[in-house]
This record gives sequence, structure tokens and C-alpha cells, in this order.
Amino acid sequence: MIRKSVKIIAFFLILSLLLLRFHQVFRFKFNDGIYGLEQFYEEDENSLDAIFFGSSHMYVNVNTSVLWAEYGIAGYDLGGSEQPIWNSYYYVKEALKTQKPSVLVLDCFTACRTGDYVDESRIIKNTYGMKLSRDKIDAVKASSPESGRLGYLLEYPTYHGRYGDLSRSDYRRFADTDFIWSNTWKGQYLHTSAYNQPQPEPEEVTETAKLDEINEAYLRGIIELAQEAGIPILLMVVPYVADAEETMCYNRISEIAKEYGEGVDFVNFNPHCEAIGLDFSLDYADPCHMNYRGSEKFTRYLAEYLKARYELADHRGEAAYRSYDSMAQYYGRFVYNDQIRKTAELPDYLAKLWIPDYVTVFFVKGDYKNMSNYNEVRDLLAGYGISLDEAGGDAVWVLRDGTLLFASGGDAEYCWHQEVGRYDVLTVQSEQGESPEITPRVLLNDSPYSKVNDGLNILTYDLMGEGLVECAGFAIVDGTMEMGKR
Amino acid sequence: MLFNSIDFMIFFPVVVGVYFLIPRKARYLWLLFASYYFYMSWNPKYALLIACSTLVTYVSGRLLDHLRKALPSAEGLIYQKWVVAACLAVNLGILIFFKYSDFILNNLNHILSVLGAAPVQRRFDILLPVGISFYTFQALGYTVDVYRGTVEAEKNLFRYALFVSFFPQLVAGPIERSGNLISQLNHVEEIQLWDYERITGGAVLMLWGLFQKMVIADRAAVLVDTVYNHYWLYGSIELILATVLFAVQIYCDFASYSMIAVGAARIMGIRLMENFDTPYFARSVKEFWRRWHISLSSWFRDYLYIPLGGSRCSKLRYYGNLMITFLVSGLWHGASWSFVAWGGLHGVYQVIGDRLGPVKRRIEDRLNVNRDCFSYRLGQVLVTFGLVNFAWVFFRAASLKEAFGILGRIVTRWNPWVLSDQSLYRLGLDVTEVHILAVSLLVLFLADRVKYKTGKTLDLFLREQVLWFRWLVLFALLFGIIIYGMYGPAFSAAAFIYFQF
Repeated sequence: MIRKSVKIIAFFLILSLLLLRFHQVFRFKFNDGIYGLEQFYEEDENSLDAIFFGSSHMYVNVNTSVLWAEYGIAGYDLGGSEQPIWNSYYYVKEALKTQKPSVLVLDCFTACRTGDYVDESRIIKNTYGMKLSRDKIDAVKASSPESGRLGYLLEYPTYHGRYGDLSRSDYRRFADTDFIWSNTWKGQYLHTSAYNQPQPEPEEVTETAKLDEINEAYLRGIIELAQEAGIPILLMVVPYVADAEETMCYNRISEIAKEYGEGVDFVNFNPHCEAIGLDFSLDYADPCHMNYRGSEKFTRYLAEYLKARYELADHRGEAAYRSYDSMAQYYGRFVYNDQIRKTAELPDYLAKLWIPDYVTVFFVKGDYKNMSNYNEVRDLLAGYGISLDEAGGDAVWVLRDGTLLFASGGDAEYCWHQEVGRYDVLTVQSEQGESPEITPRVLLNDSPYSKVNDGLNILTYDLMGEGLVECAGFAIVDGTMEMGKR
Repeated sequence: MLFNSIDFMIFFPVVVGVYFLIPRKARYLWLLFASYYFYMSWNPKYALLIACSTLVTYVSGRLLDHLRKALPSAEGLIYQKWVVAACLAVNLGILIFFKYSDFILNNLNHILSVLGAAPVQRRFDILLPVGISFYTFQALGYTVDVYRGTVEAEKNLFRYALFVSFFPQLVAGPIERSGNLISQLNHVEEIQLWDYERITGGAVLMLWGLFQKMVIADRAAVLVDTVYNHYWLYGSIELILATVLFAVQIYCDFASYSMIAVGAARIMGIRLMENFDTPYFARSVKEFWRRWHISLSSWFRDYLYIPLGGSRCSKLRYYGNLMITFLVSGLWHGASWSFVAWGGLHGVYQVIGDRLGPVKRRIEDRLNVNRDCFSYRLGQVLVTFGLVNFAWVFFRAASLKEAFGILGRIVTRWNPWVLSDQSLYRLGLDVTEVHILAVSLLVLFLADRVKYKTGKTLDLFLREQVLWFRWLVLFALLFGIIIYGMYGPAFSAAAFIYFQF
């Protein structure tokens, strides 16, 4: 009897561990919803100054790194992709269980949406990050039709079929992306591209339009949650190209805010674009979402607005906010990497590589010895410890912080590899090129990189962000190496 | 509710938990309540039908019992026959009404149109209650058993109602015999609460059943549906593949239901009959029917074939009895001529098998064929499998015309290049899904091979193995279901095929 009992207990113990691992690997790990809330739970209690809620209009455009680095405001972007207002309501409820910030800020874009439930992936993104509680059950009920609710509550019926999509990031706690760094992220989502769109003409719209009944109910619910907690709330509209109908909805939200009086503010920042300095041709990654440059501008403007109206302390220098310092550091590196990618001229490009935490692979291919500007290029590279004169044929050098890690020299065959970051491997090996000559083959993990077959390639790996910055190529054309990047 | 649904995962443990916790005398009542709840989860109105069938057969049983005691003479026998006939008429009438009205009407209108007469209009839609064929046969079997005197008439209406509606086997079998099930239900109070081997054995069977259904059957169904639903787009190879996978699908689908039913009943201390015994290892069609849907084929044997005379008559009559039995069996499976054709084919196989059997043996003796070698037996298995698959085309096709269309394309559209140009990964299942299916088919083959060789079901086989192997298999099955099961929003839980019966 005892043996059987022990066996049963052992069986269920192993089963529990396996189920837990299954859940960890297979569950969804979206960073536009799930991760934001999961990381939020790890923030110290009552440590945040401002919490921002809403859809991607909020978490792409409110830059928590700038809030911290320039104002010392401990902000958190707690939103989800296309987050309906009912999910924002439950997010506010969750936030107020552990935080009492100086201000709550809600972007009202989705308060104006019409229609019923959002698509399945958005239901998942906006509910799966919640800890199991009565509120989570209510959030799922509010978010989904009855037929699928049990699946969303149990979660595994929705994610068990991911066996064909599993990648390295599923076996880690947080996904490998360029802008999620360990636990210092604070919910922001950063774009780098620029979407050229015309600057919108400011339009005076004074009429109001009714909100959907359910949206208004949840909006009022959010306001009342803030009032019950004694926290002021700012309802805002982040600048984007809004049409007249949407503006009429925002006018209605303004009316609702006024009903509640003190402690409830509303600002539509669309008319403030000129004051913010937003250039719609450069500062946006798509019609609604700013790139990081745009988010910096908007966030500075928003921060000034918030500081003028709410009691927001400057926590820079405080030991309890080290994670924010780390975030600012990572953000700085993120911006720097983007600047490198946008640098076109070789001398400027090389100057930017001269910082710690970069592993840089220089590899030259083709007839570079006879290029007309050989001396110029040779002298440029000599400043980085690279001797073109000593190289025999196609050659490769690997440097980190100015220290030469590897040089192919005149070796006929070579193979060098090193782990970079926690999970990546850089490999430099010789291979037979098109000519009888040996040529270098550079791989990051199992992907080969080479921008030009005739010229200089520079591959840069950022150890801080644990990712490839880029592989740049400067081609030899008509016997001369171009100074402009390919 | 389906066995592979979350609802059942909640329902079953609750039922079992209460079953063992309540006073023993109340157990059968609780099971009756749970069974009706289970059945009404499809449609509450179904309860009226099953209750009607239950009442009619219960009353018939009591009447037969009374007549046997009150009028033991020949006159009493005539009255008994009338009771049986009336009971058959009512129950089969209900079955025919719900299941065959459309079929009868469509055929009648076809005849009328040929004769130039106006068609008969359907006045209302008839919804086929799930499982009606199963419980009707089960109840009728009881009536005939009482008439024959092989079982006593059940006096307790509620226990009898439980016999008809016992939820594990209610909607897709096995079709239980009154002698087996009623006697167990009459002693349900005596069942031990805790029997480690009984409970774990039942759980293993349920797990294996779920694996067959959710990993194999539902996955194979994707390819089968893709090809069969647009058969005119495909050639021989795809159609043959889809047919073979349909053989797998219907076997796993149906056997899994029975397996889960047997396992669930076993946990509650009730033994249901085995319904499938590695049918695709059969070496003849006759043997196939001893291994496939055993409860139904034995029901037809005992209540139709033998009363008709069975094989104890002239050859012609014997063949006639065979054909009638299989044609009726085909019709039982579905209200369509293609099902009748399927049944008829199996009848024809057995008639031809019987006629040519002696001829075949003489030829083999002449040629000194070694009938005891592996390759001979393999040949028998493959030929049987081929014949069964040929018949499955009629079972799966939407109509006779479609079945002939498919067979025509198999013969005329030979396209072996699809075996190497990746086409087979574009039939609804991508590379990953095909690999999962292939591995799971290997698992199925191994499990069935063990059963064929040893006669042991998975639970008995595992009981003899060392601990680490047992647990490895159990965890593999469990996580196979959790990870590779076709459920959740990305997949729709395919209903068990035999539910339409």
C-alpha cells in the first residue's frame, strides 16, 4: 500500500514538473501584451511614478527610457496590441493591486473602436499575461465569445499546437528581440524605420460622436478605479493621423472627463504636433506608430506636461531604480546601433565602432591590393590595428575593444570560433572561393554574412544587446573602394 | 459532450468521484442521472426518445415475463411473439423515422419522378438523435433475450433505464448484451472503491483511446477530407493514400471511442465487451468481421443471421442469409445506397470466399504453397486489407456515383511522380504533420501487433513491464495527446464518425 502510494505521488510529481516545463516552452511569449504585464508584476511595490495604459499607440509612442534618463520618472508602458478598453480596465485593476503611482495615463485610441471582440491573437496578448484570479476570469469573459472561453482560460488548448513554431526563444524566459533586454524593458516597443507620410493639416472638429456603449462603460470604469484609488488620471490621444470621426469620439471622451471634474484630465495631443516638433515624414514607422526618434520627441513633451500637473519625483541616482539605469543604458546602445546602421561613409563608420562591447569582424575580399585608394583605406584600418600590408589575399580580422582576437594572416586554412553573448557563436573559417584563392567565410551561428564579394565587409556584434548590429559592405568598383556603404 | 472535450474531462472525474463517495445503494441512480445528463448535453429533447425506447422495452420485458409465467402454453407463446413484434415495430419504427425518413422520401420521389408523378414534400426537418442506432439495438437485444429466456426480465425500471443509457457506451457502443451488463449493474453496490489495478488499467485504456482519436484519427481526417471532398482533382496515389488513411481514421476513431468507453466503465468497476481486436491483422474478410465492431457483428449474428437460418441450411440460403445480414448492416451504418453497397460488398466477399475457398486450397496444394510461412500470412493480411479498403471507398464517398468516380480515377489516373515532388505535403498536412502521423501510425502498429500476438490490451501489457518503461509509455501518450492532439482553436474537435449512427 505504501509502495503504491509512493509510486502514485512520484508519478504525479513528475507529471507536474513535465506539465510545468511544457507550459513554459509552449506558451505564447508575445512582447506586445503578455511580457509587458508579466514583467510588470516583478516591479517593486509602489515604485512606479506613472503607468501608461492602452494599445500600441501608447507603448510604441511613450518612451520609458527618455522618461527616466531625462526626467527621472519611473514610468511603465502597460498595454497590449490593439488592446480593447475592457482589457485596459482589467490591466488598470491589476496595476492598482501593487502600485500607487502619481498618475495613470490612458491612451484612448481603442475607446473609439466599434465592433465586438478582437481577433484571437489579441485576446491572447491582452489576457494571458494576467495572473490567475477572479479578475483574469472576468477579463477573459469580457474579451471572448462564450464558445472559446474555456480554451482561453486554460491557455494550453490555444498554444499546444505550437510544436512547429518553437524556436530558441521559447526555451528562454524572455524573447530575444532587439529591444527586450532581460528585465529592464518597462514595456516600451521601439521602431527604427521611417515611413514617409504627409504632415497632417490640423482640422478643427468640434462635434462629438457617441462611443459604443460597452466602451463608454469600461472607460468610466477605468476613471472610477483611479478615483477610488485616489490617483489622478490623464486620458490622452497620442498624435497620429486621426480622421474626423475619431476626433469626434475624442471630443466625447473630453466631455466624459469633464463630468468627473478634478483628478480626471483629457488631452488630445494631435493639435500639438507642431509644438512637439513631430515630422510625419521622418518620425513615424507607419501611419500610427512613431519610431524611436518620434517617441523621444513626444515623450519629452508629455513629460513636461506631466511634471507641470502631477507630483512626479526625480528618482535618478536612487539604488532602488537600478533597473531603470540599465534600461537607459540599453536604450542608449539601441539608439547608437541604429546610428551606426544609418552611417554611410567609411571613416565615420569606423569611428563609431570604437566602443566597448562590440566584436567586429573585418574581412576583405577580391583585388583590394591593387585598388587606387589602397593607401587611404590601409591607413584608415591601421588605426584599428588592422594591417592590410601583412594580409595575403582575402583576409579576416576579429577585434574586440581594440584587441585583436584573430587574424588570418597568410594562413592557407583557418577556422576560428568564439561564443558571443550567451547564445550566439561567431565563426570565421576559410573556404575555397571562386578563384583558386582561399576566402574567409563569416558566420553568426549558422548564417553566413558577406555584403560584398569584392571589397571590405565589416560585421559588428553587440555584446550588450546580444545581437548583430549589421554586416556592412564597402565595394571595390572600377578599381577603387567606395567610401559609401552598400 | 465528446470524450475528447474539456467538458468530459470535468464531467467524468466528477461522476466517478460522486459515484464512489455516495452510499452504495444510490450508485446506480447516480449513474442513471449522469447518463441522462451526458445524453442531454447534445440535445435535451433526446432524453424523451431514449426514455420512450426504454419504457417500451422495459414494459415488453415485464409483459413477456408475465406471459411466460401466466400462460406457459402455446397460446402464451403467440402472445409473447406479438409483444416482441410490437416492441420491434415501435423501436424500429422510431429508428426508421428518425434515421431513414429522408432516405425513403428521396428514393420515393426518385421513383415518382421516373413515373412522372409529383414528388412528396417534406413537411419538417428531422434531426437524427445521436446514438439512436446503438441504444435501440441494445434495448431490442434485451427484449429478444427475455423472449428467448436467456435473461430474466429486469423488474427495476431505473436499473433497466441505466442499462439502456449507460453513458460510456451510449452513443457509439459497444452494443452491450443484457446478460453481461444488466447483471453487473445489479451488483454495482458491491464494487470496491479502491482497486489500484482496475482504476489504473481503465485510465490507461482511456489514455490510449484519446491518443488514437486525437493524434491519429483526427489528423488522418484532414488529409482524407482534403482528397475525398475534391476527389476529381487528385490521381491514383493521392486517392489510394486517402483511402488507406480513411481505413486508419475510421478504425482509430471508432476503436478509440470503444476503448475510452471500456476504460471509463472499468474505472467504475463495470466490464464492457471488447469491440475491436486488431481487425487489420485479419487474414480473411470473415475473420475481419470477428475482429471489427464485434458488438454489432455479433448482434447481427445472434438476432438476424441465426434466426434467418445462419449457415445451417442450403448453400443458397446460407449465402442469402449472409447477404441480407450484411446489406442490413450496411444500411444500419447510414441511410444511403453507398452504405448499402459497402455492406453488400462485404457480403459478396464472404460468399466468394466461401465458394472459392476449396478451389484456392486445391491450387495451393498443387503448387506446394507453404501456408505456414510468414509471407503467406502477410499476403493474406494484405489481400484482406486491400479488399476492406476497396469497400471503404463506398463507405466514405458521399454517394455511389462519387464512389465509382473515385475508383475510376484510381484506375485511370496513375501518377507516381507525386511521391517525389512534395505534392503529398500539400494535401492538408504539412511536413511536420505528416511526420507526426507517420510516427503515431508506427505506435499504433506496434500496440496492435502486441495485442495480436499476446491477446493483451495495452493496460495488461504495461502491467508486466518494468516501472520506467510503463511510465515512459504513459508520459509519451499523455504528452503526445497534449501536444499533438488535434484540439483547440487551431483545430476543431472532429466528432466521432459513428455518432451519425
